[in-house]
Amino acid sequence: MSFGSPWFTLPEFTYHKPKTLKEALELLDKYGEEAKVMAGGVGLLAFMKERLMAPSHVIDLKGVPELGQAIYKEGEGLTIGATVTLNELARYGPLKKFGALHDAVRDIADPIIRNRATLVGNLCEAIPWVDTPPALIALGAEVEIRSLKGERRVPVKDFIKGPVEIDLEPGELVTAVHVPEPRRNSRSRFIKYNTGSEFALVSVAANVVMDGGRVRDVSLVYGAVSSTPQVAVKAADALKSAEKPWEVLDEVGRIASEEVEAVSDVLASEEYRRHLIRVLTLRVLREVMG
Amino acid sequence: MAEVEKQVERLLNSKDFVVIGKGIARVDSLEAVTGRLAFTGDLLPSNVLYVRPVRSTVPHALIKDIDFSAAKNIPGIVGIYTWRDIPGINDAGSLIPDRPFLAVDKVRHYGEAMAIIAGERPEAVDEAIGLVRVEYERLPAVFDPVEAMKPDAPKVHDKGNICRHMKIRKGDVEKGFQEADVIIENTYQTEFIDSVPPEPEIGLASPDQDGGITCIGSMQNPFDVRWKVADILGLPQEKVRVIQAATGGGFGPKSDETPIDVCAYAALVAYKTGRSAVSIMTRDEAMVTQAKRHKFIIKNKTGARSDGRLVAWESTLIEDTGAYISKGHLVIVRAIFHCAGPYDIPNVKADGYCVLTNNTFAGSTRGFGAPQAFFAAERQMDELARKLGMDPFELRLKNLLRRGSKTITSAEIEDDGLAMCAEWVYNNSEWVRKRREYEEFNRKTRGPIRKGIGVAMIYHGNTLGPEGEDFAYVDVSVDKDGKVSVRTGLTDFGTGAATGLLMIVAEELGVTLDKVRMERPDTSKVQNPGPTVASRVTAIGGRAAQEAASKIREKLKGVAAEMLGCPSERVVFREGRVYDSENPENKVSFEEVVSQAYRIGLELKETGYYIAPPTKWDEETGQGKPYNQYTYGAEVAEVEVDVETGLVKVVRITCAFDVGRIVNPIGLKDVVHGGTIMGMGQAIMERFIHEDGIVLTDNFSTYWIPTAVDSPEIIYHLIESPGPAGAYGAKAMGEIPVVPPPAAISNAVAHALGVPVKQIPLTPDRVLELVKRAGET
Ligand SMILES: Cc1cc2nc3c(=O)[nH]c(=O)nc-3n(C[C@H](O)[C@H](O)[C@H](O)COP(=O)(O)OP(=O)(O)OC[C@H]3O[C@@H](n4cnc5c(N)ncnc54)[C@H](O)[C@@H]3O)c2cc1C
Repeated sequence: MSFGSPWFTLPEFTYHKPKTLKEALELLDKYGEEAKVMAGGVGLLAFMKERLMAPSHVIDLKGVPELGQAIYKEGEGLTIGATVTLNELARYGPLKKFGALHDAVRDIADPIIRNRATLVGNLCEAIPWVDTPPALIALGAEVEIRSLKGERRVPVKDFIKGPVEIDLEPGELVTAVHVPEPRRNSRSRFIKYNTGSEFALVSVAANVVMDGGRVRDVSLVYGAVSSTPQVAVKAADALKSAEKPWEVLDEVGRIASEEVEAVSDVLASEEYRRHLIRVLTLRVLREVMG
Repeated sequence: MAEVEKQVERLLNSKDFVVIGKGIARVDSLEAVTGRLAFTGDLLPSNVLYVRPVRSTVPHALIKDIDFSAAKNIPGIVGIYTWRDIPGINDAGSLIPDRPFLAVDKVRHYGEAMAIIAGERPEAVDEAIGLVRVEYERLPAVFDPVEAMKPDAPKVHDKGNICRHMKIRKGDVEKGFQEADVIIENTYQTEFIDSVPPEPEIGLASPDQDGGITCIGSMQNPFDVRWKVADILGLPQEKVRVIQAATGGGFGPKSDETPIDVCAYAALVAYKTGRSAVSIMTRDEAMVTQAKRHKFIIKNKTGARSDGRLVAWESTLIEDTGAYISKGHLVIVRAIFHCAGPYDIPNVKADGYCVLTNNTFAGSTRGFGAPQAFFAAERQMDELARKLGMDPFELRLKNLLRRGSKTITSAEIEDDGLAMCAEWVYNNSEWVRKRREYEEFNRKTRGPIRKGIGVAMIYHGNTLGPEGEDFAYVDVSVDKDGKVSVRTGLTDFGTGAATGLLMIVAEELGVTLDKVRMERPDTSKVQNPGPTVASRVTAIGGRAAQEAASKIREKLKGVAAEMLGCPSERVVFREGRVYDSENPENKVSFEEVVSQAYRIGLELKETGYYIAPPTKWDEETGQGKPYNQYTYGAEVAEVEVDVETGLVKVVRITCAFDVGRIVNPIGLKDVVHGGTIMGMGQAIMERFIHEDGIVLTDNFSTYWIPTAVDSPEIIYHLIESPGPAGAYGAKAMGEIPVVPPPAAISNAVAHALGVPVKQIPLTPDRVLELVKRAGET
């Protein structure tokens, strides 16, 4: 145990600001594990100050124009480039179609942070209590990954492998996140619970597809309860198989609260988190099914 | 009759003020927001050495060995020092010499400094600290003050763990309880709190040419720092000069011992190496080591007649002061003098114990034991009201301290400030209507929200009282060009106190505020003015400022009289003009008078001194007059409680304070807002956790304090019922708004849920427990 993060200084590093994606990928290829890419830097620089990361090369993506766009195409969905900030995204009209993501983005930290921090950075940071991953998973989003060798796509659910651990090889970076067009008759919301302007103690994202009075499909994802976002499969099944879904909401909440991993820490006990999972499941389902 | 009397008193006390009472933004606010204010961190010389202590990672242990061999070899390390290297006295206790500056053979709490390391670069120092190997022999430890009071508990120091037992004995409490129709007894508990001043502790020390040391730092009390640094270095006091840089928040801890620590770490290195050195605490270091608000366990037993008249009150207060006493022996005194609320009670018995444990130490924090005492007292009043089936506001009004009533120390109350506060709040909070409406709402609602409204009333013994000699020095001088300089060792650390002093000087000299400036507190330029604590600056410091400025004005009057050709009694100083009261057109400017004064060789430099009348009380019974005057307050809190999640939202605070005299309404507004929000943090959010002595909440990610988005609507009103001790009748206000919220908010939550609240903060998990209990009853 040492007291305090090392001071107010950053460790030494070389700063690069490539102008094209190709240049960025070449730098990344050259420095491999010694390099870290930077978007807003909100997370990266804080980690570096605390010496939790000490890359000798920092590759700032903000000079690459093609990474700075959010594009919505009717029928295809929303593609959010790696340097699109949370506030740019919040102001982008079509985001409203993606209810859960809209909720999550709007509530992160404060306007100052949202002016710098990016969605992709928030996702790649992969700390257990960040807000956008549960929403992205509930919406079935995918991560677009590039390296000099080529490109690949991974569902967000698989991309987050552990706390601060993502599915990225040396030489690879995330160019964008793609959120598919919401299905017909679907609705999604995200609820973050905390006692003030803080990180979530528990968050939940729900995305339902209604079919008359029944729930055809549903995705329930929880943040801040464990080391990675938790998907409640059994609870979703219970809701889908119910003839009268409105009557089983209590039961669905209970199942969710029992099936997902939840931990105790200084901020909340496991018991309290499980209790919140139940309460918030009910609340979010009432909103998306209503 | 009483009304007429009040009016007459007002009239007699009223004065036509020019500067006092006008809303003035803090004089340093523009500089502060534009980044021009020089904080210590802005002043580091380029070749400064960085200094940091090696701190214990265990709460109670013998130090068997410390191995610096690996640490020494880190490039850039300049020196490693232990207690053996201290030239003077190895103690950093601010009042009681019980805390080694660097641990000798034993540590008594987690985070205690054992050695200091100095290096050319902060990174090198950090790396070196990580390589120090300490071999401990763990000692049995005690973390619970109740356990610590037992005779066989592990001893924190050589003597017993109870370091002060303070008593109140008024009337005959046994007889009082016999006369009571109802008696209730409850135990209340509060937690440690860290007041997290925005700027963590920092001290910069530089060697002088003559073998002395100059320290610049973030602090409330430069003279305390000078005293201890000089003793630690074995230097005479004059050889150490301490200057307070702009200071980013104090809240009490900056008057306590950590500002001494950082300055002394830096000073020891500067002394040894002949180079400038700086010691800066990180947030976690500051949160672990700086003086906390004390944890209290308070048992209250209360007896009343069926009509609500209080007849007997008995309290036992146990205060956890952590491993060193710091100000704990004084905090218990303030807590016990306020333990029965602001009520007229004939029979009172109270026992307060200041107890050592192996937790990190507690000391001064805004409110100084009063928030805890009033939480327990005012919750008790609500429980009593419930038992009696009375409205809690009515119950209070029935027992309120009014002019002529006697406090629990049998001191006579001399004004009606409290009743005036209570009346205003009763009307303006719409107490009666809302209390009824919220109960109705809670009965009918099918949603998760419950509404509650609660009240608390306080009185707060002013300034130091039993805590020390209540004096102040302020120097005022006028330059040839008519510019006025104010110099004092009293400090402003974000409080706005300096603005208040300048306003008082401007008022007395009849000049506009832009002509008056405050110099930085510097121990080489002024006398020790006593500590900047206990909300003293405007009330007590203001008296000294008033005296210095008026002495100069009287000197100038003679000069002006000659210039105007009128008797000196007729000379008026107002807004930079000096004129004959009978012929205002016959005038000169302030500058002209000053210039004439200089021509005839008058010295325009005066020291103002004021000492409040000494306060007395009997050590065995607590009876007497511990304070010269009281600030009063009444507060109503409205809350919404989510019974499914346990979240409490404070919707609105309606409060009134009797401040004696409004010196700066803008300053008071800021103090009321900030204090209310800080008090709300104690009520519902802030929970400083020691787990077996180890601090688990050492940063903002785990220790949650309120921010702007959590702030309730705050409606406040200021009443002026002048007190005898403060400038123009001003009463202490710096700390006071932090006192009522824990009581008022927890009463509102108890109202919303219909169950007693006995512990704060009301974090969601605790609230859910209460909800569960409410369901069971
Ligand atoms: C005071 C404060 C409050 C906060 N509150 C919240 C909150 O309420 N909710 C919440 O969700 N978050 C919160 N955060 C976290 C913040 O939102 C994240 O730190 C931020 O979103 C990260 O984005 P960024 O663009 O700054 O990422 P960066 O700091 O630039 O990067 C973060 C990490 O992702 C990696 N990375 C970035 N871009 C890429 C890429 N294209 N490809 C591969 N790897 C990449 C970086 O190497 C780094 O490891 C808070 C942070 C602070 C400081």
